[in-house]
Amino acid sequence: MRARIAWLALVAVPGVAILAGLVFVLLPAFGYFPALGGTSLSLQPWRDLLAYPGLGSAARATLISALVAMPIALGLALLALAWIAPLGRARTGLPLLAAKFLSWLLATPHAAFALGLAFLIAPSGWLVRIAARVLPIETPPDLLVPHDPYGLSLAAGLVLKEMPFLFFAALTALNQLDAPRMMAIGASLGYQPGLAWFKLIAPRLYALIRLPVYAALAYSLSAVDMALVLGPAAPPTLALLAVDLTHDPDLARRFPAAALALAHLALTLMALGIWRACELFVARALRTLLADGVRSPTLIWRWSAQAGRALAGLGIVFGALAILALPLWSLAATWRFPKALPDCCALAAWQRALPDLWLPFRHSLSIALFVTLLALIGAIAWLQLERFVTHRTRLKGRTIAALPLIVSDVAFLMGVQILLLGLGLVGGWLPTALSHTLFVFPYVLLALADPWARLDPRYERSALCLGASPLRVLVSVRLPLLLPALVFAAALGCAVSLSLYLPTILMGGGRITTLATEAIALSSGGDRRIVGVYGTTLALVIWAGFFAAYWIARRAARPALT
Amino acid sequence: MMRRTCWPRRRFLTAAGALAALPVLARGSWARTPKGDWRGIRAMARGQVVHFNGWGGDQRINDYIAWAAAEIKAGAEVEVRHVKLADTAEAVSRIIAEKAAGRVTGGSVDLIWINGENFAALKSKDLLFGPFVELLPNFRKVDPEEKPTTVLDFTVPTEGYESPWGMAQLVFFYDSARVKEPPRSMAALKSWAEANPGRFTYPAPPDFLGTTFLKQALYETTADPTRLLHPTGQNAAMATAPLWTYLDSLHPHLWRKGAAFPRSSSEMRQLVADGETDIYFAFNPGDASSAIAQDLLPDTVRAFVPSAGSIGNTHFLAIPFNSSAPEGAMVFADFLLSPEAQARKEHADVWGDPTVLSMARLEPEERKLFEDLPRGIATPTPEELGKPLPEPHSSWVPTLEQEWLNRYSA
Repeated sequence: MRARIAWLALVAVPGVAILAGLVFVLLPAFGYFPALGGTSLSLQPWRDLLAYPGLGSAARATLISALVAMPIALGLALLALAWIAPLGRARTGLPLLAAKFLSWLLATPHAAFALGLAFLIAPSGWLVRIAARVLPIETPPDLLVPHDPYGLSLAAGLVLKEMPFLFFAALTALNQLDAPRMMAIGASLGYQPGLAWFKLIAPRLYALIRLPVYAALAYSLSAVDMALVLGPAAPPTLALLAVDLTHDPDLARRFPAAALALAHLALTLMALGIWRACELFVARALRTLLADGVRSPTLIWRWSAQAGRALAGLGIVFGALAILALPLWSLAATWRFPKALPDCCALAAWQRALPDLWLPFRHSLSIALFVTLLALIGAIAWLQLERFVTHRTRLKGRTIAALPLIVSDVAFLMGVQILLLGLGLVGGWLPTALSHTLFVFPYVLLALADPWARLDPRYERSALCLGASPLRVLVSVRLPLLLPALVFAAALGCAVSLSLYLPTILMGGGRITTLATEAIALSSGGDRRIVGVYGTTLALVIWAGFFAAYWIARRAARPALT
Repeated sequence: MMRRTCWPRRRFLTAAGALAALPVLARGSWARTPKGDWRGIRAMARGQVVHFNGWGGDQRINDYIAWAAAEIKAGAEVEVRHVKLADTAEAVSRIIAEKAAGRVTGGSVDLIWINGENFAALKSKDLLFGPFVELLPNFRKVDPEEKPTTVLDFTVPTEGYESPWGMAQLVFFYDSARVKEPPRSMAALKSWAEANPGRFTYPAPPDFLGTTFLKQALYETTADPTRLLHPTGQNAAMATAPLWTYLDSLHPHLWRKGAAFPRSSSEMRQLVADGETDIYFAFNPGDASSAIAQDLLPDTVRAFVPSAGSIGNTHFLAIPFNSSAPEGAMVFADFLLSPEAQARKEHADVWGDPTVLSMARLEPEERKLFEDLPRGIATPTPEELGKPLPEPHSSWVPTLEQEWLNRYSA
């Protein structure tokens, strides 16, 4: 009983935080917030909001970018999975190399990736520069990318960043299905392997990765850092517009800003609703296709597979170049249009940036480590207590933990910010770190849950039989055995925290600058070489974390499990 | 010694029911004033941490601030942390929010780089510390008669609430490898853009330089420019109508056909560096020279000034009413006014930002610091710069920005 109450208390933390955030965005959205002079309920914030020029276009671009990006990202992720690891383990050779590349892409922070991609696809960018080697291009073409008004450049960035996320979510989920057996059944019935995978495994796999898919969709709607770099400029996306409004010196603007944050929440729910409707529609449409008994791929299947492969190939090229662009810029002496490569190499940018780099580096790292530690402790307690509740309750709890990833973060973070303002507190290190924890915790929990459940219960049982207390069993048996999973979860937690942009901006009170926020702040023109230094440093820190986790896990795995 | 005045403070830190309890703070004068002499201020400043909030979009300026921070740390034991803003309004809104939340001490902004409507907003709401400028020893080297904008910020008298930092005048730059004869008026700019579609753009207001472009165009198109020195009042639409007609006809010939605009002045310069456009403008006459020195622009870029003259102003440093380190902020502001810091700032390889000091008020060896400065190849001579046009009254800014958004952002 006590264990169950403790678990419920743990579940309540993210729930209460989000609820508080939403309440404090709801009240000012309807004009009530005494600290800012709003003492009665009114619809004035909504009237002000609707009068804002370009609101409709902002909503349109937000919705289009997310709803274009998500199906493509999902399709590519499944296609890549069918090719790389149809049975749950990466095939050797080229597929393994592709899997490594995808993990590289996943580990690259959003801000750095978006900056690299923006340089790649701009009319004076890297692609055109490469083309200029063979084509007579003297001046850059006058094309509206990035920052196109429909948010398609933003969609491209989202596809490339969400695809590896969905790929790895699906790969983890695939292990819960008995893929080899299903494929064997398919083969014995005469189905060609690729087709068998899409007919037998993909539909069941999708049901398992619904949560990550919804999280990716919600992220696409609220990605402020990527929207700043790739999205439309005037008007920007809704999330960005909301952030801009909170920066307006006129405090009365906080009321329409709250209304806008609430509208963003509604838009997120609407997009999830549209997605859910599409799910039902596609399920119905596919039903006949799945059961038509065709065993080898028809022409349409083959064509769509080819088109998907071409798109995936293009994605790999774009992704690789976008990742490379920033390190290359950071080492450039100069790099003028239409040169395909910079005048290499100079460490001048690094030397110049290093003194300024220290403070954001310290903030980034201290927050990431603190938050990851907090999330790890929380996740271990959560999983340890979870065994006292029923399976259904358990699933509900995990959904609540994942809420920060699905509910519009613009809405509840702005609520928390307004609450802080009302309490006379300015943001700072602690509010930033605590808000990060909300986003880091679900990732750490999900990364840990599967290995936690799969650990052979006989280890613990033996220890208990030998008279060890449950706490001692946890500390000296379970946790050491799960060390590889723990360090991986920690690396993931750090990566998430290091990449977060919006919570840092809204909760930092202007005093917390991290590598991610600095890279974005500097990107508004200035010096690409310095932006390259910040982006590269950010990516290097994250990559180093994963590399360390990989190294520790390999060392730990040998003596313990053989 | 400085004493801190005390105000009645209300605390409402209990989270439960905080909402219902939140009172609107009584209106009153919050601004603190410095007391004591400079030696006392320097003594109090020792060990303070100054959060200097300033636009951080230009690495050269950031480097200069980092240099100054290192100097003041060594010289006066004041630690300056540069909080880089994408837009100064962010910090202004934070100060106003802190006031609304009753945070009258220990604010998050200790010193702010500011001018124009942001200063007007803070000053009119009584949210600045001061007057403090007369206390700064180096302020004696400023001559308000010679440079009136050092005490008049966008026609608003500074009254000692901000310390001048640098002089600014709108200067245009063009790539002479691509443009033979630069357009020296708004009318010429339009015909040039028609002949060279897609090769010019300006930052989207409310970026301050974008708004300045609107003001410059307003000066050159409106019937009675002196009208702009007074508050907008009635009939503002009549004064601005020719501007919108002009922009309506200019936009189709701009970069991206006027469907998109760069977000900041440095993004606009980046476009010239990337060969996407041929002309840009800046508030700093030395902008192109120092960008060339840092390999950010090709060395074929040169300057020109509109023949009707261009808008000039001064940028300042101000201390918010709730600064947690007003003494440290004053010491740093004074250092930035020193001939040494001002001369370094004006160096084309560093920042190229003209000094606010009066040469007549400097000692010979101080004057020599400035006389020895090299003038970059893309910096206009004082004769070319001419006498700056005064900034329009700050009430024109919201009028122009709002109308621009209504017309061109949808």
